[in-house]
Amino acid sequence: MWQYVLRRFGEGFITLIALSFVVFGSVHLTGDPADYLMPLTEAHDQKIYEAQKKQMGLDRPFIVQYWDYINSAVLFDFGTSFVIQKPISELILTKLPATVHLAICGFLISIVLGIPLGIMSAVKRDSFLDKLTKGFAVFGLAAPQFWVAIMLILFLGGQLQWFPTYGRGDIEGWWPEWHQIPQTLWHLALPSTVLALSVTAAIMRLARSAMLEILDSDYVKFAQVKGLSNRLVIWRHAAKNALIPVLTFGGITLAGLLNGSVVVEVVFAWPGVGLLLLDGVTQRDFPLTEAAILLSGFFYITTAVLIDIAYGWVDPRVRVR
Amino acid sequence: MTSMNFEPIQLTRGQAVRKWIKDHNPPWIALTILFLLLFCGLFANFIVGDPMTNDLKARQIPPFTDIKHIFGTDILGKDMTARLVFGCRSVLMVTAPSIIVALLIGTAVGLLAGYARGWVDSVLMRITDATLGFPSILVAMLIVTFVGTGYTGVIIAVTATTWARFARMIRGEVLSVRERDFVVLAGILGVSPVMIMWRHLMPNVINTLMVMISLMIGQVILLEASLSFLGIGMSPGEPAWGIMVAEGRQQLLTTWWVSLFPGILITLVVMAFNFFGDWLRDYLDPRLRRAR
Amino acid sequence: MSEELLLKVENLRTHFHTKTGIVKAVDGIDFELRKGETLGIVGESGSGKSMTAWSILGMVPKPAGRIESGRILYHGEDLVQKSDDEMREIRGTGICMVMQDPLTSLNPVINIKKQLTETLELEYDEDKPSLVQRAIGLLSSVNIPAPEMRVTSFPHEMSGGMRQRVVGAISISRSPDILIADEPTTSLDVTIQLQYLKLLKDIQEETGVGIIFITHDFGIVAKMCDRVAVMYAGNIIEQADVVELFDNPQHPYTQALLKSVPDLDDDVDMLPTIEGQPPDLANTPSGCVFRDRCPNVADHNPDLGMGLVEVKPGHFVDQCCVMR
Repeated sequence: MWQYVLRRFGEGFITLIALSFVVFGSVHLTGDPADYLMPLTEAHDQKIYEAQKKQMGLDRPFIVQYWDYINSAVLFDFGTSFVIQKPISELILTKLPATVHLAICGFLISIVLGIPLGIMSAVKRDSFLDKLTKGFAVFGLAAPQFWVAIMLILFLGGQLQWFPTYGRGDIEGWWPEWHQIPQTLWHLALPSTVLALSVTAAIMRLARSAMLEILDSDYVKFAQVKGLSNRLVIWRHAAKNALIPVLTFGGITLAGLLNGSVVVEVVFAWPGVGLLLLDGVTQRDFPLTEAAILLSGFFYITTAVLIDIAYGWVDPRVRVR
Repeated sequence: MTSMNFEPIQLTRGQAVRKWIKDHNPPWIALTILFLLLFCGLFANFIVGDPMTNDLKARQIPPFTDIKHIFGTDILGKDMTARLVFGCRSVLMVTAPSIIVALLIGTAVGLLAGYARGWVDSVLMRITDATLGFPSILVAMLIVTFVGTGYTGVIIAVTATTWARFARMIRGEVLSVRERDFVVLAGILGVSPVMIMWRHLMPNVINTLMVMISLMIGQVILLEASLSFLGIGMSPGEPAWGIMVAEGRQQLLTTWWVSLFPGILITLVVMAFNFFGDWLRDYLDPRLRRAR
Repeated sequence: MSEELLLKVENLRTHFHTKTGIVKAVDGIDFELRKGETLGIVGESGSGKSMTAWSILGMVPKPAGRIESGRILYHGEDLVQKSDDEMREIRGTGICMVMQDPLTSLNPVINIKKQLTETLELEYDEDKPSLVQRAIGLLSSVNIPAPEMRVTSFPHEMSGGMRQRVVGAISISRSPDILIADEPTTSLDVTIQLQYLKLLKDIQEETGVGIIFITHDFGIVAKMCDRVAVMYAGNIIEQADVVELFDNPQHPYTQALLKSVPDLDDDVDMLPTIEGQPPDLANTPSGCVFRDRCPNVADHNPDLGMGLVEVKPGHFVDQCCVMR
């Protein structure tokens, strides 16, 4: 098992390096990097341009710049944002809690809803539950998240006033005060539900089709022949095998969450990293964009490796590879 | 002893078609939606008026109240019906080129990786796998940052997120075919690799490709809509559904229909492609192939 | 041969209701199984052998399939009438089954120990360590070397022969009266096959378990079985003691099957085959089900329904062959 774990971490590390290369390289390969990395106003005068370039170290060879950048990045120093004129790491750190709360909530919802419902709809095939689940899955995979978000805001927030439609409430940072928790949850409700939407749909579908195949398998039949109760057969034998394909697509789940978080944060004015990233892109704040993408990439790769390891734990056949 | 008679029954054209329909149960609703999409996209000019002119005298008309503007008008008085129909054209204009380019790149990479194997394969596959799972919006954002927004940016961004899937699949097919005896034989006989790929690979691949494309168009449409919504996709003002949803959002309570209808259309079209792709997959599945 | 009667199947019919018609997988079969006896059920694929087994176990795939009529008498009770829960009680401890492919019979993600103990748990109300001891004991009783170490392995870490023995161990762990073996040796090498069959025989001698051995291989029939029933298109067309069947086959189908097993001493150019195809089970011919392929059909009356007639003591043949 341990060799497998080490191997996966190693591969993840390499991918991470490659990613940083690509991100950093994009800046320097698409035209004159100086143009991108310097505030526009100062680029007009040639002399100032040259001086600035030197000062920012942009005349050095690519590899040197890359090395410098990586070194500081590891120490969590990404330079300063153009637009906001603050250290990027500070910006990211203040926005991070919001995104993490949102992502965890969305993830929990999708797992808690998706897997059991997927499994049950396979067990009770063609029942009302099954039809409902299938219908929801179809919708969840086709409807654009930003639109669903807006419609929910319109009806639940605007007309009915059941849920707050923007912001996190008055909380800051990672841990709300005790008395702030209800408010936190209330504010989290809509955004995390929307975020979970497409991911839940995908998980449901996967769990269902995996379960259907499993229910047909010989070992399930043998478990029944041995005389095991239905509950044991489903939850101990069948469900564990159903987890395998679901975990396999854990990466896509994750990608879906990250994707969705940008849109959800925008619609709900949720002060998170996604919103920050978008601002960076629209305002051509390259250091910020660079940093945000790098961090997201890091997060994604790390979690993907962890999921792979979980996969190895569930399915022992994989470890031998 | 009587022998079994298996005379082929002759059917007329019409009967054969009806039988095919009965046996394979094509997804009518999905096909209708897709047909309408194609029709509106190609002939938008002839069906509706101009989607881009502002008419300040006719601002914010709600839907179903005015016969001239069935789906209402937006904040600046642009006719929603026209914009919705022209949106079909945007869909076609974005999905077609990006899927074609993604297909070409993906096929090239897949063929190369599968045929060359060794370290070439490893490297190419690393890159492919890394791109494969990576959140598409992030990739798109990275690209848009340096290429710029607007139509070109969208095409490049979308292509970058989709080519990997084709590459992976083609490589898989190449690997499974190249070890087959008849391919090795052909190689010994001196047939060029290209010829081998064409003759032996293509037939297997075409089916899977068609299903894959159908199912991916939905993702492409959603990605483009999301980018346009966020303001980093198609240019603002263009009749693209994603942009329209964003526009409606600005004054949501008073112009809610500007957001509602485009979203419904996106959902319907993506659903239609998904249904069609699923049906196509079942239809082409060799295991289920009975009366083809 | 007057041992205790374990199982009596009477006129069993299991049909599947599909969109294209009613598939008569099992269409009126009768047989008995006694203690310590091995009954072989022989036939080609699709003859209804496996479905007979699933019918006995009460696991006919629903909703399309169901037992239409007939009785399956076990310990004096009719299994056809029992509920799902009642059948579940019987499975494992009264009647158990071993399937063809041991790799797919075992859950790939759960280790052998758990798969053994979960069965033992149902039988013995003991704590975990003593259950594990029992499991180890079981493994050594099926001749698995070093069972204390093997017990924590996963199915894919074992060889095919070992797996099939583990499956066998699991199936007898609750001391069932009847063991149904559905082509258990098809996926094994020939030498492993022999070992496995010997194992089954040993278990039978020790415990008196009645075995229903489903196979298409007459060689195995000769080695293992006391009585044989030949199935064709959902019906039993001949049934006899094994020696009698080999010496004196009455039904043309049985005769053809026996002839098609090559004999090293014969000097043959081509193996004899039976012309034609088995009938579509949704569309079986009326009367004698073999009529379309029978070389003697002109001499008999195929319009009689199916039914077994005793031509010699203990030797039954479908009545069509007997009547003229």
